[in-house]
Amino acid sequence: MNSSRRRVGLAAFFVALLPAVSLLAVGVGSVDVPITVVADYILGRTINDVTYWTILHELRVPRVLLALLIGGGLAAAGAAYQGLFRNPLADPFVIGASAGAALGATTAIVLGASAAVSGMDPVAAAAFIGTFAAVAVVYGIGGIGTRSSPLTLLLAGAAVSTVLSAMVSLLVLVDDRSLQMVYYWMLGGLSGKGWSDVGIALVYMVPGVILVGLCARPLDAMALGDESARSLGLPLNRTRLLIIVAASLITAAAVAIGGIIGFVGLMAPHAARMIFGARHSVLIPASVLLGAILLVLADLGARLMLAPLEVPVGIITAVTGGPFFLYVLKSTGGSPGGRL
Amino acid sequence: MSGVELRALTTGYGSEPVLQDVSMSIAEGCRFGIVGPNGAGKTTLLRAIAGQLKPESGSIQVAGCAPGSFSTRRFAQRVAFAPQLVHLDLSLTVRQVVQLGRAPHRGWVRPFTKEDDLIVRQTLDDVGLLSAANRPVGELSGGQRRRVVLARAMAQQPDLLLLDEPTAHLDLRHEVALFATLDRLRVERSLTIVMTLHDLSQASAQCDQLTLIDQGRVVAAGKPADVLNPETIRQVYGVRVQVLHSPDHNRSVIVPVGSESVDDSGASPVS
Repeated sequence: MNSSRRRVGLAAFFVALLPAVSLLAVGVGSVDVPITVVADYILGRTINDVTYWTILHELRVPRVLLALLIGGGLAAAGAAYQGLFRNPLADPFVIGASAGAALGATTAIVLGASAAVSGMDPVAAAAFIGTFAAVAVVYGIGGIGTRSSPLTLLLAGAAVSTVLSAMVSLLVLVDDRSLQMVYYWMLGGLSGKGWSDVGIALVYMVPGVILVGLCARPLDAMALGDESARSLGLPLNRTRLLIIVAASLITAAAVAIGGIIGFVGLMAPHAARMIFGARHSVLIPASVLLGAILLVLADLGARLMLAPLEVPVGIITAVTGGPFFLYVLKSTGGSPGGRL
Repeated sequence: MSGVELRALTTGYGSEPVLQDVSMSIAEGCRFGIVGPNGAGKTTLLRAIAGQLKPESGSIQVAGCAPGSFSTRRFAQRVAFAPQLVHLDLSLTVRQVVQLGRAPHRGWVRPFTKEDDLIVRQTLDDVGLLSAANRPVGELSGGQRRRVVLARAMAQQPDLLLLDEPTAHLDLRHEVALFATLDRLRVERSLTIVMTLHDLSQASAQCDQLTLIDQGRVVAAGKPADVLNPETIRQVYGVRVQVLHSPDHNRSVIVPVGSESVDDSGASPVS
C-alpha cells in the first residue's frame, strides 16, 4: 500500500536523520571541530589536539547525548499523556510537573541549599522531588475513586499548578536576589551539563521510556474510552498510575537536568501521530525519535543563534512550539477524539 | 456456561440508586432484550452485568460467579460489552480498534497472532467493514463507527455479549445483517446476547426473552408476546398502542395509536 510504503520511507529518513543531526551538533559550535576529528572521537581513536578533545569529550558529546535523551524522553512522556488524557494538547507538564519542579528549584535557590542529593546538585534534586510531589498531589486529588476520569486529573493539575506557581512568585518576591537565577533556571537549557547528568538521565529516563512503551496497547485501549477499556479487561486505575509514574520519572529527570523545556513533549508526539498514525506501539518510538531530533536541533540553535552567547533552549522550543500549539488548537478544536 | 442471574440487585452512581431490587435470570444461549423508556435504567443494568458497577445490595452472577471473582482479563475473555457512547480516537484505523478486542486473549504486551488476524478479518467481514479496514475511524459515518464498536466486542469472542442499543445509527440493511450475524454466533458458539433496545417491534422479533424496566424496577418479564401487551405499554410509556401479531405468532408489531401526556417525573396521568 502506498501510505504504508510512504511511512516506512519516512521512518527510514528520520532514523538516518538522528545520527546526522547528532554529528552536526557535535561538530558545529562557537569552535567548529572538523568531521574527521569527530569521526576519530566516535571510533575511539586518539585525538592529538587537546582543545578538540576537551570540546568534544567535556562539552559537546555529553550535551548532545542529553539533548537526545531529554528530547526523546519528554516526547515519550508527552505521547503517553496525550493518550492517557485523550487530548492532543496534553504535554509532560500537564498535571503539575512543571509547577512542582519550579517550586522545588525556587525553594532550593532561595534557601541557598548546597547539599547534593544522590549525584544531583541541590537545585536539580529539589526540582526532581518537586515534580514527583506535585504529580502525587494531583493524582491524590483527581485520580483516585471509582468514577475518576482523565478530565478530573487535568482539572486537578490545572488547579494545583496555579497554586504552586503563585507560591513560586511569592518566594521570588520575598527574596528578589534569587529572581535572575530562578528565571534562568525556568527557561531551561543544557549549558554546562556533563557526563554525570548523562548518567542521571540514563538511570531515570530509560526505565521510564521502556515502561511507557510497554503501555502502548493499554494506551490504545484507553483511546476507546474508559468503559470500553475496562470491558477489554484493562485494570484502568492501576494502568493510569503506572503510566503517570513512568512519565513522571522521565519528566522529573528531564526537569532536574535541563529545567523546563517546553513544547518538545507536545510537538514531537503530535508530529509523529500525523505521520505514523495513532497506534501507540508505533507512535511512542516515533515520538522518541522525533523528540530527540527536535531537541538536538533546538539546542544547536540555542548555541548558534546569538553565538558566543547562549540562548536558553526553552526559548527556542517555545518560540517554535508556540505557533505550532496554536495550529494544533485551531485545526483540531482541542480534541481529536469523537463521540459516537 | 454464560448464564446471568441477578438477585434483588440495587445499584447506581451516587446516593440515589438507579436500579432497585432487580431480579432476573438469563439462560445460556438466550437472546435477551432489555426495554423501557428513556432513563429507566437499561444502560445501568447492562453496566452492572458488565462488571462496571458494583451492587449496593443484592447480587450478580455471571456463569455462577460474581464478576469481581474473575480477574478483569479473565472476565473480558468471557464477557464483552459494546457501550452506546464510545469515545474513539479518530486517527486509529478500523482494524486497529477491532484488533483490541483480541487483547483479553493475547494480553497487553504480546504481539497479535495470525489467529487473531483471522478472527479480526472474519469479524470485519461480518459487520461489512472489511473494505474499510485500513481507514481511520474519523473518516467513517455514524453507522459505520457503531459497527466498529460492535465488531470490537465480537472479536473478543465472548460467551456473553452485552450490547447497548446495537442498532442505533444503523440502516435497515446493516440492522438485518447484524441480527443475522448474532444469530449465527449464537448457534455456532452458544453465545448469550443481552441487549438494550428502543424499538419494541424489533425487540419482539429479535429476543427470546424480554424484561421491561421503568424507573429502575422490573415491570414485566417473560416472552415478548407476554411482556409487550397494550396495557403494560400504556402504563410504562404513556402511549396507547395496537399490537399486531404475525401469523405464526413469533413476532409482534407495536403501532402507536395515540399518546397520553408525557411526564418524565413519574406515572403518566390518563388524559
